[in-house]
This record gives sequence, structure tokens and C-alpha cells, in this order.
Amino acid sequence: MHVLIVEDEINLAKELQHFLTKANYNCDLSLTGKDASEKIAVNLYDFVLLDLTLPDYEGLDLLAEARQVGQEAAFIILTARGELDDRLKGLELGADDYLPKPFSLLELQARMQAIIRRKFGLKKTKLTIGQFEVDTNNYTVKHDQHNINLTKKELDILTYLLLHKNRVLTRLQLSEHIWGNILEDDYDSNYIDVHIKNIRKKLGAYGETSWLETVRGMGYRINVANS
Amino acid sequence: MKLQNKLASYNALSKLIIILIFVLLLPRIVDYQARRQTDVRLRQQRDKVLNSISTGGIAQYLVPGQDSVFSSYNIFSKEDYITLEQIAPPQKSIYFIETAKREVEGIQIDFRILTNTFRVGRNWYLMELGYSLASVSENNVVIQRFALILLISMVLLTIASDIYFTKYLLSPLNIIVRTKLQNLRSPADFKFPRIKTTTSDFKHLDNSIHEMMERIEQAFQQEREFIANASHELLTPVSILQHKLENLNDHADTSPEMQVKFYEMQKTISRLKNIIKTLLLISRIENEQFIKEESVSVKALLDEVNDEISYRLEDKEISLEMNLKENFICQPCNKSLLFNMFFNLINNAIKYNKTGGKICINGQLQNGHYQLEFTDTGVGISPERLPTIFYRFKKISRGTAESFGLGLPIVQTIANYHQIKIEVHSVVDQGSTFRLLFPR
Repeated sequence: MHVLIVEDEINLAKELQHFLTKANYNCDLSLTGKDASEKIAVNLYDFVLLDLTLPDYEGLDLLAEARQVGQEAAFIILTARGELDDRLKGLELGADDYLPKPFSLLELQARMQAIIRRKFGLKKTKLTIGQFEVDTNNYTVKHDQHNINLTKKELDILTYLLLHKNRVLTRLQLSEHIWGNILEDDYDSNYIDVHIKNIRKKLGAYGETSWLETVRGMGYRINVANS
Repeated sequence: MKLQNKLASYNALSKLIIILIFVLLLPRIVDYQARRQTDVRLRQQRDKVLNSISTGGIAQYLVPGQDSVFSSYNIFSKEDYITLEQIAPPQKSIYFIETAKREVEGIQIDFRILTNTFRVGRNWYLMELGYSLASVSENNVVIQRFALILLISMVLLTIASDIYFTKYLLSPLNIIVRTKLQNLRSPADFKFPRIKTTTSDFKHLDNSIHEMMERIEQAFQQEREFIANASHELLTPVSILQHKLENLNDHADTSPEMQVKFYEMQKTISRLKNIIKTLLLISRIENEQFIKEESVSVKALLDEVNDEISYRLEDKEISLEMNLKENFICQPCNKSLLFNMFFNLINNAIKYNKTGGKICINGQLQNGHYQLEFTDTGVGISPERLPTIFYRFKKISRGTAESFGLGLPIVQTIANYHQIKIEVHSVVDQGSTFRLLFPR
């Protein structure tokens, strides 16, 4: 997968590159709009991660340009502006997703994978873990022939953990994924624990759930080797 | 008391006092004038008498046989008299005018009397010319009464015209007070045409108010822009920190102990992030960057919030009761902002509640206003803290819940944006009620 990161803040660009390279993406960096414009015209990308506030370019213009030259990359807009107008305009111009800064790198990866599934027609929406089958398309969990009723939040947590299997997800990362758009007052809520407890209880009634590990002081991990 | 009434009553009072003084002084003035005129007449009379004596001799005045005294007076009105009397030669000649009583036919009458000595040949004579003052004081009463009536009616007339004129004169001030200063909630509402007036003072006042409002609005605007810009600028370095920590956390060399430390740092960053995002949200609302044209059923929205928050209720074993009498549609509004407001209110009611407590949401129309109440059975807010709960960063240590104190400021900013009034009632250890009053 070929990714172009358009970001004028070099520190940020480098961290994105580091993370995505490690996740087996092939990354190009553009620190200016002009450079990005040239790269978009010449290369074929699967993803363009676009910061809207560039010193020399109106970020959204790049998107329009790319569509003109037949660039088929999926655009994800990353911006600190976070204004509703930008979001609507971006999506109208054909951006595939929109992430307001600051976001979690894991969230970015999840969004990219979602786009891949959607855009490249990957039909594989069923994930298996232990004796369970999770269908991310219609939010169901099956054990043999039994449908297990999980709430939407519980399924969200489960699929997010599955997406990043073998990696510790902190409570913070999980909360942000689930309640990212609700701004609230607390800075350390333990409500993720409540949901995990429920997931364990509901799935535990049918089979082994030891693959869902608690990592002390941090969060949770799905350990595939353990399943 | 209004300025106009004050002016009118001052005018009336001062005029009345002046007139009273004048009317009281009137008899003395009339007396004085009358006396002066009488004196002039007496002197003229004396000159006439002396003239006629020097041409016709004294004999014409003397009654035969009684050669020393002559007297004459007006029989009917007893207004004036003259006496001539021969006297022994005086040490020096006498000439003066005085007021004194004289008896005429048994009646005591006040007279103005001129006394004068003169010589004819070797004989000295004393002349007394008298003029009664009774007629003068009689006139006095009439004049006084007439003056009083005339002046009072003039005063009434001027008071009426004064009231009318001050009212006219002060009308620009009334307009300024009534339209520009009363019911002014924020400087942003201040959009008025200038007052039309020829009075320079009011023009000056009006201009000053306009200038002041512009300056205040400018200061407000600058503050909002500052918060917005500062928050934006802070988001980028926070992003860098967050990403660096996430990458470090993933690093193969990172030991589990280090990971926990990194996680603690992430939590701190997350706190910073929440503060910045909240400030941005508030400043965006205040800068009116949210579209406000949706219409939302309050009940449906509360159900949505309830879905989102129900696990928190369960976790604390809190029961939620909803009594919504009418299906109130709030419009125009911004749904996500209202969601945020309800979420924060219910979340607060959970956070500051006791385990096994209760939350009651009541909605009903009252006097044309829709009224929504969130009542909890929590720890409550003490009266001295009540006035500051909506201040940004004013931490209220209620119970053990940790927060950075921006939940209620968010609630209030969103409520203001929708012209919703918030009232809070609270009793320590019994609970709090947040009442939202929607606009008509």
C-alpha cells in the first residue's frame, strides 16, 4: 500500500511515517503543498493523508487537483481546524474520511482498513477469535449456531481490539475510539472496564475468553496465540 | 424618581416659593410706594400754601378773633387736613415728615404728617399738613389679592409648559435608556441606530455609549479569537506528543514498566487535549460557527443520550425516571450541541450521585415555556459555590469524581446559544435540580 503524507509539521509527518511504515505501508512525505501536488500528479497512491492547513496551499485544492488528474487514492483529511465547513466541503469534494487532530494513530489505522475493505471490495468481514465469529458488517457474534447479543458499544470495542490484535489497547485509546465525538468532563473514566466485563460475561457463557487479556495499569489486548 | 419629574417638581417648587415671598412682601412695597407719593404730595401742598401766604398774606388763613390757629379738613372722607398755629420763635426751623395718629371727630386715624415752621413778619407759625393712610391700606388688600391670583395662574401655566418642554427635551435620554440600556444581555446584541436629537449632550452620550459598546464587543471578540487561535496552535504540539508516545509504546524495546509510564503520560496528554477541545468548542459556539437550523424532539434526543449513558447508570446502580408530558420539538437548534448539553447534565447527575441513587427528568409546558428539569439525589452544591459553578475551570470538589471543571461551562454556553435559561437549586446532601427554560 502506497501512502502520501501531506503535512507541513515535520515532527508530525515523521511520526505518521514511522507508524505506517511499521504497519507495512509504503510512505512518501510532502512538507509543502507544491511538492504534494507534483507527487500526486506523477505517482499512484492508495492513500493520501492530507493536512488542510499548509503554508503555501489551500489543502482542499489538492483534493480537487488529484481528482482532475485521475488520482484514485483514498483521501483522509487530517486537520486541526476541525470546522464543520471543512468537513462538509472535504467530503463533498470526495474525501473518504476526516480525522480531527489530535487523533490516535490506531484510530487512523482502523479508518484506513475500513476504507480498504470498502473501496477495494474486500468481502472478508468475518473475523474469528477463539470459538467465536465476529461479523463486522452486521455487528453480530456467533458461537456455533448461537447468536450472542452484544450492544453496539461492546461490538465496537471487540472489533477494534480484533483489528489491532496482539497489541495492547489502552483504556484511553478505546474510550477515544468509542466516545471520541462526545466531549466530557472526566479525565479518567473506567467505563471501558464495565463494557469489557459485559463482553466477557456474555461470551463466557458460550466458550473460552482467555484470549481477551487485561494488561495491568494500561488496558486490554486480544492475544491471538492464546485463542 | 425620573429626571423629568425631578426637574418639573423643582421648577414648580422654586416658582411657588418666589411667588409666596413676593406676595408676602407686596404690602410693604405698596406701603412704601404710597408713602413716598404722599410725601411728594405733602411737599407740593406745603409749597402751594407758602406761596399763597407770601402773595396773599397770612390773614386769609386766619379766622377772625382766633388769630393763632387755623385748621381745615375734608369733612366726608377725613383724608387730609391742614393746621396753622402761631408759636413762639423756635430755636431753629423745623421741617420733617412722619407717620402719626390724629383724632378727627373722635376717630383715631393714621396720618402721614408734614410739620414745618415758617415766619411771617415777626411772627412764627407751625404748619401741619396731614394725609390719611387708610385709603392706601385699603387699596393694598385689593392689589395683593389680585396679584396672588394672577401670579398663581401664571405659575400654573409655566409649570405645565415646563413639564411639556422638559419631557420633549429629555425624550432622547428616555429612548437611550429604554432601548439601548435596558434588557441588554451582551454587547453583541447592541445594534441600534443613532438617536436623532439637537441636544449636543445627548449626542455625546449616545456616541459615547456606542463607542464603549464597540470597544467592549471588540474586546470580547479578541478574547474569543485568542482562545480559538491559542487552542488551534496547541493542538499541533499535542498531536506530535501523542503520536510520539503511541509509537514509543509500540516499540519492541519498551519494557512493560515503561509502557505503564507512557500510558500515564498519555493520560496527561489526553487531559490537555480535552481542555483544548472544550475551549475550542466553547469559542466556536460563541463565534456562532455552529449551524442552528435543525428541529429535534427533546424526548427522542434524551432517549439517545440515555442509550449512550445507560451503562454508567447501571455501573452506579442509579435509576433514571423520565416524565415528559408533551412531545416538545426544539427548533431551531443544533442537534449535536443539544446532545452534548443533555449528556453533560445527565453525566453530572450520575457523577455526583450516590450509589443506588435516582435521577428524575421532568418536562412540561409552563406559561408557554417548555421547562425541563434534571433532578438528582446526589451530594448537592453548597450555596456559596452555587454562583460559580458555571465559571470555566472553577473546580467544584463534589464527592470523589475527578474533572477539570468544564462540563457545566459547556452546558451553559450551549444553553445560551439556544436562548435557554438555566436555573439551579441545590441542597447539600440531598441533591441538585438543573432547570432548563426553553424560549417560546
